[in-house]
Amino acid sequence: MIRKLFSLNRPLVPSFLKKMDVRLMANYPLLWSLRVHLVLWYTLILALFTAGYFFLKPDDPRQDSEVYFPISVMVILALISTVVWLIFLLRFNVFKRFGHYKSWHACVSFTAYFISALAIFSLPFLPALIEDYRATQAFKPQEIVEEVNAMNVQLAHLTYDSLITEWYRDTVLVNDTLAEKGRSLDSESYTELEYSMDSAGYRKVVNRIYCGKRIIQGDSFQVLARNSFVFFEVPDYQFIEVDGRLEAISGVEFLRPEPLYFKIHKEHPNINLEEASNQYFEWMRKYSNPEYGLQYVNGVIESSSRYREAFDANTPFYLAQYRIQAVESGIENIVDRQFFISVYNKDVMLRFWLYPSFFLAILVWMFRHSTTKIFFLSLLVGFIVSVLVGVFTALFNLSLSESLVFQLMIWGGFLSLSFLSSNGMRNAIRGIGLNLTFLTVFFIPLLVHVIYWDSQPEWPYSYSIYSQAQAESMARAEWIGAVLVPIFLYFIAFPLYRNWYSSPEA
Amino acid sequence: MTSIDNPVRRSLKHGDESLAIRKLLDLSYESKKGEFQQKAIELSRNFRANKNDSWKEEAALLSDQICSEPFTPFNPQKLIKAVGISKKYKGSDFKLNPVNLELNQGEVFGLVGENGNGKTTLLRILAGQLKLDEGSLSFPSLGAVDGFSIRGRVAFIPQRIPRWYGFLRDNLVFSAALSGHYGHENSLMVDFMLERLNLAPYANLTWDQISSGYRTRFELARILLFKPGLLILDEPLANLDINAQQTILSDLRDLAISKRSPMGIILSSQQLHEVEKVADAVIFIKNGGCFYQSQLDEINESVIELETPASREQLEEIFTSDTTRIRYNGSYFSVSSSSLSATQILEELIKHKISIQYFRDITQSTKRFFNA
Repeated sequence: MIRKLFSLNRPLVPSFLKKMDVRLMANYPLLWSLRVHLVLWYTLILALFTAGYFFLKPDDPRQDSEVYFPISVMVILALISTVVWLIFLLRFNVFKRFGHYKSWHACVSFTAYFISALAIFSLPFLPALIEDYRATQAFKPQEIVEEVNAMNVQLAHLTYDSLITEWYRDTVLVNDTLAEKGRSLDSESYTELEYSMDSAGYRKVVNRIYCGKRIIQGDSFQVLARNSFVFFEVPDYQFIEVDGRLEAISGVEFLRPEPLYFKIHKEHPNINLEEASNQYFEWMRKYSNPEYGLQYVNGVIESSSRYREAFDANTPFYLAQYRIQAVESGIENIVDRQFFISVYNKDVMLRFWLYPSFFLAILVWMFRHSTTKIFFLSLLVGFIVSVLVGVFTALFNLSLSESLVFQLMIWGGFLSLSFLSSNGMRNAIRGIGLNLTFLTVFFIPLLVHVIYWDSQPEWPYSYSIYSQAQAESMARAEWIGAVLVPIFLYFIAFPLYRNWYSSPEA
Repeated sequence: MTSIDNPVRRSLKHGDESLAIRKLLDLSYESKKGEFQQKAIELSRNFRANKNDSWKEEAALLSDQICSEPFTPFNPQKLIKAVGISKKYKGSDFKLNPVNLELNQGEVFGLVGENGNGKTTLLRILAGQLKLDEGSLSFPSLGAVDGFSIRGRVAFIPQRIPRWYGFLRDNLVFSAALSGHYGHENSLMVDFMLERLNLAPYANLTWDQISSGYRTRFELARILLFKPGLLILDEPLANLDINAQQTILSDLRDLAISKRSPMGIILSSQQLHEVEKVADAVIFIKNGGCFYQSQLDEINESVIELETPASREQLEEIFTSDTTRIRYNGSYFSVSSSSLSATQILEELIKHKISIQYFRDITQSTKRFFNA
C-alpha cells in the first residue's frame, strides 16, 4: 500500500519524505493535515536554491549592497508559498470534520502553523545572511579594525608635513540660567545646539551639565575662573573612520585621536616613508570600493569638515592620492553587510521575523476554525473598526492613552460578543467577535505597556536608562502576549470555537 | 453468543457471485478479525480480476470459518428522538410543520415527498445543521457530551456532495485515521471499503476523474469509515444507475444492522419503491408536514397502478362500486378501493380479459399519495 501511495505527485519530494507523509496520514492525521513537514521541506529546498545562487553569484563586499532587491523577491516568494500552503490547508481539516479534536490539538495546530510560518518568513532574510557570511569570510572584523588603525597611522606619517599639530581650544562660561529642560548627562541628548555664544562672540555660554560632559570627554582642560574653562582637543588624525560597532564584535578598539596624535609624533622620526607608502597602498587596494574613482575627491574635500581639520586646506592631492573616501566607502559597505542582521539589529530583525510569523499563524488558525465567510467578514470588520478608531481619535482629539483605552474597551466588546448567548446558533456576530478577540489578544499586554509608559511623569534619569527600561517593558509585554495567546486558546478560545462551529445555523 | 447462517454459500448456490462477495466482506468485517478481512479482500480482488472460479470455494470455506465463530447478538438502542420539531425560514412562506420521529440502531428510515416540501430541511435539522424553531431533538445513545461530539457521530451526506481534493484513497486513509484506524488497520479498513463499495479501480483517481455515482459511493465509504451512529443521506440515489441504486440500498440495509458498528439510517429519495423495499418505516412529507408515517398510520384502502391499452370506460365498467375510484395521470391508471384487495382487483381484470402491461400493488407504498 505504501508503494502505491508513493504515486502521490509531489515534485522534488524524496522517498523518505513520501514515506513519512504516508505514515503521518495513516497514523497522525492531524499532523499530516497541517502539512508542516512539506512546508519545512519545500522551504529548505527554496533556501538551498537561494543560498546556492547567492553563494555563487559574483559579489564584491566592498561595493554597495544590492540586497534589498533579492529581499523583495524573497518576500514575494514567501507570500506565494503562504498562499500555496493555505490552498493545501483548505483540503483536510480534522476540526471541520468533527473529528477527535480537543483543546491541546488546537494548540498543536497553532504551534505547527507558527513553525511553518517561521520557516516561510525566514526566506527573505537569507540573501542578507549570506551576504553577511561572505563579507565576514572575506574581511574579518578584527582584521578590519587593526588595519584601519594601521592605515590611519601610515596616512598620518605619509601626510605628516601637512598635519595640523595645534590643539583645538574651546572657551566656555558656565551659566546655570540656561534652560535645563531636555538636558541630561547622557551623551545621546548632547548636541552642539545646547549652548549660546556670549556677546563678545568668543565664549560659549553653557550650563553645568554641558561643562561636566566636556570635562569627561575632552582631551584636556584649563580652569580660567570658577565658572570659566578652556577645553583642549587634539587634532583628529582618524582619516579613516568607520562603524564603531566593529569594536564590539572584534574585541579590538579603534585608535582614538589622542593616542593617535601622540603615537604619530613619537614614531615619525623613525618611519621609512617608502615602506609606509607601499604598505598603505596595499591596504588601499584591499579596501577601496571599486566603484569609486578619483572624480569623487573634490566632493570629499568640500563635504568633510574632519579632513579640513586634519589637513592643510591647500593639500587636496593627498586625498586623491590615498583615495581615502574610496577606502572608507569600501569598509563601510563591508561593515554594512556584516551588520545587516547582527546583534545591533537583533531586536528589530527578530520582530520583523516573529511578528508576521505569529500573526500568520493566528490568521491560519482562525481560517481553519471558522467558516470562510466569517473569516473574511472578521477581517473586514477589523479593518473598519481600525479606521473608525482613527477617525474617533482625530475627531475627539484623544491622547495616546485615551485612544488606547478606547481600543481596550473595543477588545472587551469583542470578548463579550464571543461569549454572547446566541440561542445555540452559529451566528455571524458571535463568530466575528470570536475571531477578532483571538486575533488581537496578543496586543493587550502591549496596549497596557504603552498606556503605562504614556502616563508616566517626565523621566528623571538619563535617556539610555529610560529607553532601556521601556524596551525591557515592551519585551516583557510581548512575551506576556505570546504566552497569553496559547493559554487563551486552550482555555477560552477553542471551547468557544468548538461550541460555535458545531452549533446549527439559523 | 450465537452463530449465524452462511449467506455466502446461499448466494453462491444461486449464482449471485457479486452478492456473495459483498456478503463475505460483510461477514469478515463483522468478525472483527483482521486476517478474515484481509482474506476476504484478496478474494474480492480475485473476483474482480476474473481470473478463475477458484475464489468461490475459498470464499465458501472462509465464510464457513467466520460463521462458526461466536457472534454477540445485536441489541438495538434508541438513536434519535424528535418530538414536534418544526422550522420556518425568515422571509419565506415555507414552514416545516411539527414532525415526530424515533429511530433505533439498525433501522432504516425513508423520507419521501415531492420536491420543495421540506425533506432536506428535516434532514438538516436531524443532522444538527439547522436550528429548529420548536420541539425537541435528542440522541439518547450517541454518548455525546456536546454539539461537536454529536456532529461527529451524526453523518450527513448532502445531495450535492462537496468537492474533495487529492486522490480518492488518500481521503479514505485520512478518514480512517480520523476514526482511530492507524497503521496496518488503517490500510485494511481502506482496502475493505474500496472493495466493499467497488471503488478499488478508482482508488488513485481524483474528484474530476470519477463519475457522480462513484462520488456518492466514495462519500459513503468516507462516512462509513468514521463509524457514525446515525447516517443521514439526502437523495443518495439521485446520481446512481438502477443497478447501483439497488446495490447501495441493500448495502445500506446490511450496514445498518452491522453488529460491529450498527447505525440508524435516514434517507430521502424519489425512488419510492426501492426505498420502501429496504426501509423499516417511511415518512411522506407534503407541504412541510408529515402526511403519512408507515409505522403509525392505518391503511384502509387498496391501491394499484395499472398500465393497459384498455380505456377508462372499460375499467369503469368493471369497477362499478362506489368504493372504487379510478384515476389516470396520462401514463397509467391508479385504482383504489376500500372494498377490494389488490389481489381481487387483479382477479377482476383477468376475469374481464383486460390486457395488462404493468401492474403494481402500491397499497403499502407512499407512491399512492403521489397519485392522490
